[in-house]
Amino acid sequence: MLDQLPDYDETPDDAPDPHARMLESAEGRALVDCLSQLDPEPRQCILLAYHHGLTHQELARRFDRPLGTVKSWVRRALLRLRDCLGA
Amino acid sequence: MSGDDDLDALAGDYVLGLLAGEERDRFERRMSADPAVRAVVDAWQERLMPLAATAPPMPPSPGVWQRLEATLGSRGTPRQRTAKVRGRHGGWWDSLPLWRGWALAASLAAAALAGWIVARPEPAPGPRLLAVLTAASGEPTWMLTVPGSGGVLRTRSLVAVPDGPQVQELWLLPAGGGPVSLGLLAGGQTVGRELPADLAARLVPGVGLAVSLEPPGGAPGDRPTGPIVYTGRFIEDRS
Repeated sequence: MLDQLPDYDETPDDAPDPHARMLESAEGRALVDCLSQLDPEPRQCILLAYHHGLTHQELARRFDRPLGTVKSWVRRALLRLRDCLGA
Repeated sequence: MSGDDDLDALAGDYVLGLLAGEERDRFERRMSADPAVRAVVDAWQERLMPLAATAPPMPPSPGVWQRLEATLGSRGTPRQRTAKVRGRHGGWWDSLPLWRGWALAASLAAAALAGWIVARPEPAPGPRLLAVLTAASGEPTWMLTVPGSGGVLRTRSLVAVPDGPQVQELWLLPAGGGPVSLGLLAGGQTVGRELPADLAARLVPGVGLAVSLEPPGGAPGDRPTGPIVYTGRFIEDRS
């Protein structure tokens, strides 16, 4: 089941960009901009957790990394998002 | 400051749905006890809100859907069930046009939730409940869960919640009595809210649920004013 989840960094050319709608608002554009500054794996962790409800454990399995690594990815990515988005 | 970072990271985890079980319960109690913690959670909710517009379709697992179909099937299609309810509630349903099809107009909105967790000293035991709300087409749209330890209702959108001025409001349809609002629904991440004890006591297996489209802020009174777009029932979750 974990294999069937989308890889948010690889969208086929003919598929609509799932995040295109975010560009319609200023807040959405800011979030896209800040998400784009993250490393790909931490960014995918955040999106997979949000959209598909993956747990830390499931993320660790998907990326074949220790649980601590994945937790650290998410923590650092969240703090970077916070700082990037300001206030 | 490291302390703020820890809280920010934890609140971010919560809004992403990464906290679970006892850890999540503990954090929800902190939120209810401390407005500063709730403010940090609200800030994350705002930051990540644009993601709610892009939630991809996610059907429930086959086992859950089979049990739901067994329950729903015995009561007819959603439209038939509504017709029976119309008789029972007199003119209430007659004033609401039924939604035809899944093609929602572009001007629909996801609104901020009406309330977060509130303080509750002793959770009351109750059944674990599960509901999948469906459109008239049968497409699953919302998953609702009640963990059973206390009157917490968790909601998760299964399809993208469209933008626009209108909001989605959730209603409980208890047997014998009018609809009771359970608040507004927001898309994306699993969100929990705690219900007052008397309302929590009415969340039982078999009780009906409906979602209506309302003006910003929700229905002005205690009745739906817009069309019913989704319906469902709670089943007992023995998984």
